[in-house]
Amino acid sequence: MLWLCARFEQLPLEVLGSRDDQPLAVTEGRRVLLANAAASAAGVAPGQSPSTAQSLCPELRCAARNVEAEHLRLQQLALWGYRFSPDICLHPPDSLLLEVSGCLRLFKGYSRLQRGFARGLQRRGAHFRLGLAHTPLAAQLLSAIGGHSEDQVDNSGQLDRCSVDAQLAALPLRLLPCDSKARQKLEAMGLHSLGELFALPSAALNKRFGPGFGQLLARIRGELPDPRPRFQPPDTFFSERQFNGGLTSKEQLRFPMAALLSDLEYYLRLKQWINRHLEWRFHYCDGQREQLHMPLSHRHFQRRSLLDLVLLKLERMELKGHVDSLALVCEQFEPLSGASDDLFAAPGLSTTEQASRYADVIDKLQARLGTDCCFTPAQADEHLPELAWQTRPPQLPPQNAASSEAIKKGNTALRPLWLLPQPQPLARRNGSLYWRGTLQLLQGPERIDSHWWQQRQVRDYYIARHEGGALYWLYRDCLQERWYVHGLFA
Amino acid sequence: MPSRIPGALLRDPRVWRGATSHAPQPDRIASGHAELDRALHSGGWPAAGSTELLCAHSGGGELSLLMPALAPLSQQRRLAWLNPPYLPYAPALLAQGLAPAACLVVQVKGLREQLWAAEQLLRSGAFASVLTWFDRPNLADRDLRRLQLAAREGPCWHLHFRPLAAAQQCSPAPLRLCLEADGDALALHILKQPGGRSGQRLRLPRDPRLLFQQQPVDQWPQWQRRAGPGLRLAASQAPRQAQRVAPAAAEPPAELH
Repeated sequence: MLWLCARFEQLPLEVLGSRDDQPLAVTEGRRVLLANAAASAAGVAPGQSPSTAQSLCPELRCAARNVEAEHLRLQQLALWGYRFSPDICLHPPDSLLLEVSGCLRLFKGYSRLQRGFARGLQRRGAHFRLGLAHTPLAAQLLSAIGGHSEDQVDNSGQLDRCSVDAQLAALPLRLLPCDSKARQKLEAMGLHSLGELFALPSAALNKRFGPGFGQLLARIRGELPDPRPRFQPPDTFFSERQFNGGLTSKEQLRFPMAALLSDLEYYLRLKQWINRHLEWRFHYCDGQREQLHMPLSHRHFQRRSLLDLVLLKLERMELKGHVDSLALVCEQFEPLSGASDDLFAAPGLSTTEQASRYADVIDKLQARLGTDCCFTPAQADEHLPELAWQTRPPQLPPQNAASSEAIKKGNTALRPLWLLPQPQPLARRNGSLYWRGTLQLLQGPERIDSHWWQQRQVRDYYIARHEGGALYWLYRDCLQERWYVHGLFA
Repeated sequence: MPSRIPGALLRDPRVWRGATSHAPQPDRIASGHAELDRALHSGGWPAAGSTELLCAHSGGGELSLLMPALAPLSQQRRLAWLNPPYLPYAPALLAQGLAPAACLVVQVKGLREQLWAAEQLLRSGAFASVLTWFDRPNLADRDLRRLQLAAREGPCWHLHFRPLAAAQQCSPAPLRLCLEADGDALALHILKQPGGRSGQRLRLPRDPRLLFQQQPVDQWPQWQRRAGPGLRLAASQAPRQAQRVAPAAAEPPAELH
């Protein structure tokens, strides 16, 4: 077993947007819990009261601790850390534990894994300390001092137990996770390091401090199992970026959006899912909130084309002020369906490529022109001609089998290729029908008598020729005794 | 010395050829009308690029001219209709063998957005053919050129429907046709075509079923009781050919008078 612990001691400061040039102190229960570098330089220290701190450093900003945000940030880091090991557990308030012995071969050795992990954490702006040991508890203790080096693990993945034991033995007793009474007792006994404690017989310690204390020491040394609940990636995606001071222009949003989409890309690959929807949440500095919804029909997640799509949508939007934070939320997913190309495909684009291009163009059109700008016509089983067709959303897959069957059945009745959205009433001039010119009936009637259960419609359909030579589809409403034009035989 | 001319040069559609006969282009789309295939030097519709169809009125048979070519295309790839003047009627499309599920109808307002959408559709490569109608008949030459280039890039067969008045304007589209209803037929005039002489005039007869004259009463479908059980429909005899109708002979039904 090889446990790597990352401890984020600055987490309460980081979630509150700490900047190096601005002194910031996190308070909890009327005491300063943590101060950033600028505040520490001015003399602010943990344990002071906020008023003392304020008098030491007048421009100090005191903010109450936000435990929820810390937990959320820890979860995001865990989600990101999931790429290094499947066996990852959260240790609130500020630690992540990774069991990496199973992943060494994948990363070609521990040192590469650890370098990648550290580089990624730095890129995410996290301050951290690492600890490596054979048990989770020991790794956690070692991460508090951060005296960690890559060469503790040899090429075959074996931990150098001697150096770890030496490090553990040198740890001060104040780090031991036990109650303060026991700690005072230990100090009164003249014990200062963990090594001195380990040297004592465990039976005597159990007698003095109770069986729980002995178990704690056994878990540190690996003599007792220490099961931890594993972190599972959540079922919905949420990722957020904070901007100190706020962003004003849309161009500045491009990079955080790309980063958020990259997070989502990773999440989707992890879950083997595909999203059908993007939701962007803009939080403005003045407290306003705005959401931007984007339905999608893509078949593969392509970050670059998706980013273009988002920017297209953003073009149409007015920012209401300075953007304080931007979040990307996805709650609906579909399992990724693998599609295969034909081995002996015809020249030109493959069907899957065409389908993805079709989805892309639909997304583009809908992003710029609105979701109702396009549709696919379909047949419906109705007698009235205007009800015999319907619109379908274009994203739905075409029903190939059904449609080819319908073609075979093929209604033999004559139907016009153009249908007027609304039947247009006809006028009469000189005893003949008139619509943009004189009409002359060629054939008919075809009677359609339907909808007696609602509003009865009795129509006699005729084909008529316009004086210009075009063929129209007319009907006479037999109940109202009126003529209408309903279509064109184009 | 025709044997000296390299074959590749002859196959280039941009080469104008005077009198020699033409071999059909390999990637053409059969139009379904033998007469039209013969008249077009490429042997059919082009598979990519703009084709302008200038028609005076809707309803003259301009879509049924294209249906034999579009129906097989719709079985494999998709078609897009940008801003059609009326609704493409799904039952009629099906009757012509064209799958409505393969059609995408896009309704856009405003010329600028229409041009943008047309370019996106043509360039995407997802469509075998894109049929476009624009609000303004006189498009700028630059826009027409952009559409032609986008269609070539697709590759996509761009069917650009324009009013007859645009015939006077020169256009970068390689193939331009004038369509007009002429009695029982659709009159075609090829204004411009790649690879050779243009100016051909054709008359393609319309579907004779559309032009049946009102049938006399004794030819109407009627129910006849036969000796066997049940009723059987005795169909009227279909006329062998479309009857030409003199305009005076057509009588509106009695209710009109």
